Amino acid sequence: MPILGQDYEPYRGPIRRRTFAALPIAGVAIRRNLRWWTWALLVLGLIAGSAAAYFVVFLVYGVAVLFPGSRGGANPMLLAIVDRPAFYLDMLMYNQVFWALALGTVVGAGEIAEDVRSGALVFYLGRPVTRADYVLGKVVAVSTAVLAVTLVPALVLFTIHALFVGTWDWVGAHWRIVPAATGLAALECVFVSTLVLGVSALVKRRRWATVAVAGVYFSLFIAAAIFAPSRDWQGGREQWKLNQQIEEAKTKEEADALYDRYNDSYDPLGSLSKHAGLRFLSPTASFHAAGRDLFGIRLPGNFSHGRHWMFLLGSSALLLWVLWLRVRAVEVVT
Amino acid sequence: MDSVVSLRGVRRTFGRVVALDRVDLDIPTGAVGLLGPNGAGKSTLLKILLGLLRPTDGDASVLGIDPVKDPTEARRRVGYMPEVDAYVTGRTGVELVALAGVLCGLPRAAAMQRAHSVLNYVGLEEVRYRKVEEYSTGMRQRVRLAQALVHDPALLFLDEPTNGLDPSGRDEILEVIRDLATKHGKHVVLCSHLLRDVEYTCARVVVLVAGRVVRQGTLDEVRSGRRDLYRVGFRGPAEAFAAALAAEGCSVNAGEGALQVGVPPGAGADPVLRAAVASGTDLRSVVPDAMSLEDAFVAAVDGAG
Repeated sequence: MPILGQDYEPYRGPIRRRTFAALPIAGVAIRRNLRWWTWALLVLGLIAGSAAAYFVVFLVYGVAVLFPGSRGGANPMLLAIVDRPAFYLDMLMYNQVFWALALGTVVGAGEIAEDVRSGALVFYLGRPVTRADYVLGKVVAVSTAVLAVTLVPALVLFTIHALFVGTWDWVGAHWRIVPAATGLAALECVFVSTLVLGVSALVKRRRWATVAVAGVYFSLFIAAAIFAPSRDWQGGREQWKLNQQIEEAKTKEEADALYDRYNDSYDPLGSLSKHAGLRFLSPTASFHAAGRDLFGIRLPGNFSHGRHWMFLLGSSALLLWVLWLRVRAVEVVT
Repeated sequence: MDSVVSLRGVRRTFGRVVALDRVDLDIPTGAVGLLGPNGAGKSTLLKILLGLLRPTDGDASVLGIDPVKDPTEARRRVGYMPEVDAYVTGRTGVELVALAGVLCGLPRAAAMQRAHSVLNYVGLEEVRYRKVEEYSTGMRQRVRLAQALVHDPALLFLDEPTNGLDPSGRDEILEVIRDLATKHGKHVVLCSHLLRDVEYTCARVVVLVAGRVVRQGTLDEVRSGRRDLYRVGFRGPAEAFAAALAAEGCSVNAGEGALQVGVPPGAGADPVLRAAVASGTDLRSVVPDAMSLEDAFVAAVDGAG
């Protein structure tokens, strides 16, 4: 007799032979992060924090349009900054890599560690779910968070930008920004999710995973800063002079060339450093270099070409391998 | 007899440790107990059948499916209740069981409906909206059983389903398992080292020791597996009689007012009679003794050692 008199009823409904198990697994992971209100506030706070930078840019663009330069029209300095692919790359890089990593860590650091501790790994893999389904589900969950602070605001900004300009010519001239931003965001998704989940698979607690991810990231960042200092600071006077020259430039080409020089003075790839070749050790610098490739912006001559891709894709592959080894429903004791 | 599980020469090693050693086994329909001491290879066997582990050597099939070639299909057809806690934190009982249903291919709405039904069946309807991490040990066992049942599989693999339960909780779970096997036609492979659980729920037993199948059959066949066991009633000094039996090559277990005597294979009751004559003991009864499952299990384990 069943425990409380309720008899067993056979199931007579449909059963799908092929299911895409990664999606329910991703859904569970995302909902788990939003279920506790403190955690949900943290996630939403990080998304809002990342959006703040875009909001400031939106204001800057508004100022450029509303307060014309000395020779009429929009302020050329500000337009020179925002009206070019490098601006989107800078937005995706300087502002968003930090947010992507922070949010990815908050969302993903505990995912596998928590699943191993609670036995959820056995729960999932004891069903018709493969290890690939499980890992993909977790990657989708982390990537959703990463995209929320990288691609989504970039596309929103592009749309607003296009509306501000108000011509199809501008869209036609700048459409490559969309696939380039998508590619860079995808690269960030792969790197952040494999880093966060790979570390999560090696520890047993969310908090340790969070500390370990931050430790790995900042260790690489500091190593790059020590071995390949990013720049010799240019005098403020030179930058001010370049600023003036951009305002007075007669042609767009001239303004672009001046802007390239202006940008180089802040170059995180260490184009002014003797050891730029080691900058790939910093994930931020490697992303910046990969972003330049995707956006079609020249790399500094003394920066080692290809190492940044090797670093980003190689470390992601290595972490995927770690995940593959650790994600098992069987604890092997020999 | 149809078999739901078939193994041919299955071997599994972990480094130098041999977990399963060329196992040939056919598990028939109905409820079958997989008995063995800790470390016998029971859980390894289940994980091979679920496709979670690959055998080092040999072939396996579950309901006609090769779990090495098509592990997801094998798991779709089987309900697996793991030995350890297996839940997703932050989810209520009904959400967890519905998730298990969705992962097994049920449409979302049907999975939720089915989750309510099986939670009622295992007696968790009162607590189905509580988070699983707040459940007691007994409730967690039941929710694990509910997860295994949600897609209504023909075959259930239950790994130590009464682990950590108090006597009443154990009885309730065993009652459900027996109900599933006897009234609802489920094939059950019950993995346990608790003999009483197997005796209560299963018609057949497979005894696994050190990765090898050392005995299998119906409960009666296993219990009566040693026909050289006698229960001997006597009057006289027990020590002298026991010494005489030992001299005849018999094993002796003292019982209340009687001895349980194991005679050498094929010798019949003759050694008992000779020992009685030699020690001057009056025999009152010599009756072939059916073993309890526990005796059979101990004998099997000793024999394997």
